[in-house]
Amino acid sequence: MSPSNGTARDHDLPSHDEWVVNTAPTGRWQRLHLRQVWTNRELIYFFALRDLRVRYKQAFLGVAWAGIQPLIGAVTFTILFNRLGTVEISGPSYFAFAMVGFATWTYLSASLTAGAGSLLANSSLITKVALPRIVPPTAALLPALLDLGVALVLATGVAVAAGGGLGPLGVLVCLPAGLFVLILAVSGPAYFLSAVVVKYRDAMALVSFGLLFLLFVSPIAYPPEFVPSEWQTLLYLNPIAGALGLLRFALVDTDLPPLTSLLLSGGVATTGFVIGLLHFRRSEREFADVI
Amino acid sequence: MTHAIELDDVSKRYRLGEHHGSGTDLRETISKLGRRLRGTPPEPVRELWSLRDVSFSVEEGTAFGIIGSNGAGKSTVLKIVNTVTTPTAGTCRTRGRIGSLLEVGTGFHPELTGLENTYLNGAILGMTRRQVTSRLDEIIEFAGLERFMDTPVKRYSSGMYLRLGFSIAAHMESDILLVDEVLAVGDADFQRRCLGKMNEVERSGRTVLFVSHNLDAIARLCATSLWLDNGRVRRIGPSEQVIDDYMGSSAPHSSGVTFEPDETKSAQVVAVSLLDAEGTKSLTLTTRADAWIAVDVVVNEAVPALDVSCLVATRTGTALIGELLSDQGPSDIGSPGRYRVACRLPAVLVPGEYVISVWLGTAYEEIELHDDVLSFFVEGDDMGRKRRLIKLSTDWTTTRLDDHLSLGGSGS
Repeated sequence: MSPSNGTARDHDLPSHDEWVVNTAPTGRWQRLHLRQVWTNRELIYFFALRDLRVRYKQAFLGVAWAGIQPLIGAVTFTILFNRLGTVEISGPSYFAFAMVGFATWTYLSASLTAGAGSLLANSSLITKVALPRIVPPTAALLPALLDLGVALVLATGVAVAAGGGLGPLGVLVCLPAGLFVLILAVSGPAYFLSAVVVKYRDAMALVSFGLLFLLFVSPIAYPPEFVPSEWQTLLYLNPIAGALGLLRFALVDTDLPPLTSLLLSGGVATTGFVIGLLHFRRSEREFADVI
Repeated sequence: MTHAIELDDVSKRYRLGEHHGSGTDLRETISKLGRRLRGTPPEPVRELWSLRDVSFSVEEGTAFGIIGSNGAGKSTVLKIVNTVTTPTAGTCRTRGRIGSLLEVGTGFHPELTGLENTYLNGAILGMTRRQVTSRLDEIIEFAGLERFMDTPVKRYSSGMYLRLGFSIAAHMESDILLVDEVLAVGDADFQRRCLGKMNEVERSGRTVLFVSHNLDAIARLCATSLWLDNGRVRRIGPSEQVIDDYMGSSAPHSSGVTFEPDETKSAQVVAVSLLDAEGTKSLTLTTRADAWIAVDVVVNEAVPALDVSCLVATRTGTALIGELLSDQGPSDIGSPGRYRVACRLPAVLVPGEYVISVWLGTAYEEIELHDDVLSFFVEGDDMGRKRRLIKLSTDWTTTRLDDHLSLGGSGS
């Protein structure tokens, strides 16, 4: 086998006869090395579990928060847009529609914030242990999935009660595809920002500003049809729009966006993921010196 | 023999100051532009070479020590070997899985229980869940925390925290074990067990890279040692020799203090110095050998029964030794002239820093008092007895008292 030159050791990697070589970083672009995520899955799981455990230790309401938050959000949206304003959607229940939107945005917001700050939050490990650097930002994407899951189940229940239907195409294809696009869309910026924050702390301010911007330009409280047809391409350049379209079609019985729009969203999410991870790979070997 | 670790001309540069890296942030760019407009030369980059052309190799299955003063680059070597950081130049090659005992407890989360932290820490150190489970009993037993594994570690004492961290790290499967100063902490019993564990690791054919200020521990554990001095290799060789060289260099030859002669005084201390067992000036003693406090006195006009006293106190001011020249009989330095008065300092001091004070006078009059005139270090092993102030190799006798009782007993 060729010697592995580069990143902190994979935990399963060094067999006894294999040299691990540590030399100066070349500054060149590195490969994505996605396999590292898989080989360190147990460690990623432990990191995510740690964050979940810590969040629910000494919390009175505990996991109930995962359901309460999207309910409150959906109630707010319903009063603002469906009662005071008149936002029309294609599905049976605006409440369920808003809940999916709110839960998705909550996931995006929580994961991106946690991901961007993940290396900084684990700086003692970064400077002292050969922890694979990819672990903290990857693990940061997981805990909020629990809240997302709870909210999506609640929203589905509301939609079904209001007369919505669940189809195999939706549940078996669009639901996983929607979650995949969503996680992909968050992970690219999370990798990128986590590496930037190591060097420049003020990048965290950028995160909250970006999230606010995304809240307005994504069809979270309003349906995509709300946007004039000539702007639709622009709307789906935002991968969150595509992810929402898939999730809502699958769970709360709204119309499926056109395939081209979905492909556009998926393509943007993938591009963002590759760029974010490439930047991460190029800078990760200097984290311990810079953080 | 094959090598487990090879360093080849490894150098490491750190940039000093708040901003690191390529200098591409806004503030630096603006200040560079400003300098160019004004025509002033660019500010030189302040940098520090933590390591310079360091080469050494460690044979598989041996223990290798690294010594050197603070800032010599010892920890940087470990970080490069552990791939936590990269060298600026040169190559470091390691073979096998690396475990580290650097900063025990890194990665513990205070809210999680001892058990949860054991799994988390094990995972961070590269163990699978199954490996941790299979060693869990050993880990808990070694740490002595059987009753506390379900308690959040935020309720642990610092000693418990440390024991758990060491125990997890010591029980991981690794081919190379990096140890950085862990023995500086923990109680005596635990330190003994740590050293024992490291011995066991080495005997089991694994490689140990050991960084410590505890020279006795290095000498005991490592056959070969490296002395790093300001980021460069000063010497590699058998530990005893390297340690001797290192100890010799750390004592500056100009050690001691002198005072301006003042002929208006009837008598005066003009120099105070510390001599080791061989009679050379040194401010670093070992726990093993006697030393001498040498006081040079000039007597300008006769002072009958002129007396000198030497006092040794700990850094914190506890007086340990206070001896008078006249304790051993009438003094003979009263007539005008120049004298060297030396007081034997028996090897009773435990490792630490001490200060010497010198007094000159007679039974009726104090001529001079030089408080805290010289400080020195005693280096060596405290044998884990942290609280004692002096060590005395006193005599022990044992006498069996129950002989007549056991006659009719078990008969063993």
